[in-house]
Amino acid sequence: MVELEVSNLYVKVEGREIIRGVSFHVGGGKITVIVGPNGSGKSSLLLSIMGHPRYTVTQGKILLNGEDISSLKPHERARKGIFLAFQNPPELPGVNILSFLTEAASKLGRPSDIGAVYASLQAVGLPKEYSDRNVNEGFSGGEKKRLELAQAFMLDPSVVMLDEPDSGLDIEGLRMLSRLVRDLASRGKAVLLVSHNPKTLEYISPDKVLVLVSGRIALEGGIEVVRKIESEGFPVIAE
Amino acid sequence: MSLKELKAIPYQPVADSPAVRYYTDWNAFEPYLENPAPPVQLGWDDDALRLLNLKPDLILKPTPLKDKPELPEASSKRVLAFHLNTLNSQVNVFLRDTSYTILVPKPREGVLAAHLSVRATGNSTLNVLLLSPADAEGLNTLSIDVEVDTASTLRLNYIIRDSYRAPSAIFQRTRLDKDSRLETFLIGSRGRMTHMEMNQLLEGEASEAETVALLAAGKFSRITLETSAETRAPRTEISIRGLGFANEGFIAHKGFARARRGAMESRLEVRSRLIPLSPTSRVYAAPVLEIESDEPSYAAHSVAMGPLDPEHIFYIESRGFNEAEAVRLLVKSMYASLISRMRGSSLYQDALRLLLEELGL
Amino acid sequence: MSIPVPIEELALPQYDISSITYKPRIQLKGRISRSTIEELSRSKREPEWMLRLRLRSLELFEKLPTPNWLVGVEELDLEELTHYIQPDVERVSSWDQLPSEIRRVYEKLGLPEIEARVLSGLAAQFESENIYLSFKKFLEEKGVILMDMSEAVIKYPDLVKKYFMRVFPPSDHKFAALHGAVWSGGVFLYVPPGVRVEAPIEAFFFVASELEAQFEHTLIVADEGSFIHFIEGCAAPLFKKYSFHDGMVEIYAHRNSHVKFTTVQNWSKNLINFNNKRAILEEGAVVEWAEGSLGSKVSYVYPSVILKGRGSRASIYNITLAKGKTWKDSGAKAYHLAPETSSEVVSKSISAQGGVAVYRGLVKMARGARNSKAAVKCDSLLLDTESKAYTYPKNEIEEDDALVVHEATTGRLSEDALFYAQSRGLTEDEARRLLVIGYVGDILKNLPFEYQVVFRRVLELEFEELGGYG
Repeated sequence: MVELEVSNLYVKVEGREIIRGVSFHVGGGKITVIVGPNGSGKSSLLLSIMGHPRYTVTQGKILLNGEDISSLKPHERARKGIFLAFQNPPELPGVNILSFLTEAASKLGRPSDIGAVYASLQAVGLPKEYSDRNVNEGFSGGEKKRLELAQAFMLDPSVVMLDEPDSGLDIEGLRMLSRLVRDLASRGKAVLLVSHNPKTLEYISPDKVLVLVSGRIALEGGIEVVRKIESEGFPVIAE
Repeated sequence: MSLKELKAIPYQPVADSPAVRYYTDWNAFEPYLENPAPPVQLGWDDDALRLLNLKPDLILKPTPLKDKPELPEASSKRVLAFHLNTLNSQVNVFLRDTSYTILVPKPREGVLAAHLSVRATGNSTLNVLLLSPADAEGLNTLSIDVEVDTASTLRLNYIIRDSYRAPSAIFQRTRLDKDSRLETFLIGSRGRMTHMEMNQLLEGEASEAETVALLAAGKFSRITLETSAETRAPRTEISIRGLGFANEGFIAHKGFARARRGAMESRLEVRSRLIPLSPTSRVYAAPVLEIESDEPSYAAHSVAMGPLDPEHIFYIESRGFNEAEAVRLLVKSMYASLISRMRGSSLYQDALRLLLEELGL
Repeated sequence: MSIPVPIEELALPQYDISSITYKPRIQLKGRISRSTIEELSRSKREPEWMLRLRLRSLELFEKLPTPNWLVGVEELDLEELTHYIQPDVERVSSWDQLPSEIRRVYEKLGLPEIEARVLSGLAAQFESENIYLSFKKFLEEKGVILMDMSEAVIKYPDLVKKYFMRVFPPSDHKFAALHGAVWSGGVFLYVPPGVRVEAPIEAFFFVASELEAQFEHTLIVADEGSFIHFIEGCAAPLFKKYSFHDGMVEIYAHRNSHVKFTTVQNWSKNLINFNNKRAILEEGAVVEWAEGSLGSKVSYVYPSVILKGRGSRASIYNITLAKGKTWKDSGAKAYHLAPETSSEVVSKSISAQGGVAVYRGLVKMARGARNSKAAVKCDSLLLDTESKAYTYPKNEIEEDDALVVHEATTGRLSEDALFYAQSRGLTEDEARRLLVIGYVGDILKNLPFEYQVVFRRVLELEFEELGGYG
């Protein structure tokens, strides 16, 4: 079973410390949700795990199945099975979806035929004709989120991180999202999801909820944490 | 014309304000101007030719001259004057609903100065290939006069990969008649100093000139491309788009779009995107708009120069591509998205490889 | 006439007024000789180094080629230009001597008589007005030096010598050299470290007489951490005696200082105007050039910035009106020589009745200008078939980690927008005026409020007669 562990992690971006001593772990088959106010560092945490060049780990470790990956390049982390569904996926003009996905899949040793692409698109409710288009070009916000999930299907990672996959989704979209997330978990993947919206959690039913405030874990627990926040607001962390 | 007379002509007419600079390294041409010699051992890069899957219909070589062409700008452009003076090859081409490929060979030594007179009618394609052996040391100068007949379309494809050791200069003038259309597609990769001037005059109402130039300059390569289009007729369209990547090389793109009186409801645009891929790369863009009345309905230009977006690179890397692969994917895609604007031809896809090779990708 | 005609339409030949009052002190004909320069320098009691600078400039003037890119200056034979170096000309000495048309324009502009008197050259009287005197006192207390350039050369020679024509050397081009040889008048402004002068210095009201000069030299030195806003000129039309102007503005912005330099110019249409403007910025400095150029027949003005220090920032905003047979050549140059620098250029020109507006710009990113950005937007509005707009930008990048974007649009007023405005009750003329003002609106808001008001009104007056064509 895959295991992602973040151990006493400190991360700096543009000279500012954004993650200050965060520790948690996510196991295969489990869904962990991170919530927190704006600016608390939720996205930064996921981007650091993926290895975004602007984020520097100043202390602590990121361990994948016991191996410290904090000095690996993003593509090396991807090849080890880490995946990030971006909050704001960029448009890549001229980069055809079909060729992009098949090439990426084949690098990871996954099925990379056109059928696999179609299946991934269909799994997220996108028409298979979209494979002719360019990555995210002219996509609506919701379509971009779906394409991220389609990529998760295609590339079959062991750790799936989702950065606000729920923003801008309607009820139907939320239902689809939670179905997909539960499906990923049921296939033994470790799922780490950042959400802005407590409503999402009613659909997703996480195994663990972490509350991130000012770069630290302020609260941790099960779904009851969400109700606590809904009634009391986010806890304040003294600087 | 004596050497002294030649040297009295400026390299190019340019305002001598303090900020002036030549983008073209004219020094590369000087040795040939001083010692013009007939072309010896004309050759080309056969691998490149095979890559493009093209069979030349004509390979230029020295020919007797009929009447010398009129090149009025020769009085103010030194290399063009030299070209006219040294002219040793001349061909007339008439295209009617056909496709024709001309191969311009490079001399190992000496100068091949050729003039092409082209008239296109119906729906035609002309491929002009300059695929030089990497180490040839001769000079190519080429002047091309093109006329596109009324209601005709000409697709003009230039595929240029010159030698590391010697320069080339290409001067093209095109005249478009009423309702005619010219699509110019230019691939410029390697070259010691490749100087290209493409000029289009839209004289006929509702004529259109679309130019897409894809450039790549690796180490030791210098490319200067001047694309200029002028209209004085109503409802004409001019579109010039240049995309260039420099990986330790030098690229300058000057794009002129001019609307004189009479260009009612015309549209003009010049877009230049030049990207330095490494610290010693140099990219220069000078888009010019000269609009002489309020008649055009649209006239704009834009330039974007800067590195590839690191966010895009990170996104692609997060899908398992390493940095070099991510850069290659982005560069290839950016070229490809301009190619898709030109109506389909596998020639363009093949030619893309020349560009990527030049950049070391 | 029932409608006051904008100033350039006045049929008055240049010296109608001046023939009564003008008395040239020194009239130079033919070549400018060394002895003339020496005499000029002596009469101003200048130190040796300034004389040497003038003489060196004269040599350069003679050596440097006459630029071949000039339009409208072929008519002027520089060698025979009469130089009115000593700006001792008397302006109109009484309000009543001013042509009634000019007075009516001022009235239409809603200027208080006080300001109108200044405009008509009654500066001497004006400088004694109380509000301005107390502001001057305030500046003195803060250690701000504000005085005419010639006085500053004598009183603060070491300070002036450090900067004078170091920002814009005479060797740069022929007219810079000419300026170096015969400069006279202008303003020296020095702001000590940490001093922030929030209220703008409206030079016109302080040292108007100095700025009337033909070859005036303005030098602004902002020491570390200071802030100053200097405004020269005014939007209301001004009558000038001479026909050739070759001024210079040099700004040296020390570390973390902030200089705003605003020029509003509406000179008579007999004038050929060169203005050499350049700023050097040290680390963290900010310089903002704002130009509103309405008048003159031919003008060449390219505010430039040299971003020498890390993190320095500059913006250059330009509004240019080319109305009638005029050639307005303007632009901006930004040299990025250090990391983290940024520049922004917004240039908007309006051409009408055969006017030609030219934009010439240069953005250069030198090796080492890491993480620097430049953005240029130059738009041209053409109001009829005779007018022209030429745009010549150059972008040179030698640093792979720098970003330059440039956009330019040349066009006419949007028919849709005109129709929309008319559908809301405006006449066609009113709609046109509204859109023209709107076109320059976002740059206009960088001018201090009073200037915006006058500028807007002047533009409106300019376009009052442009209705009825389409």
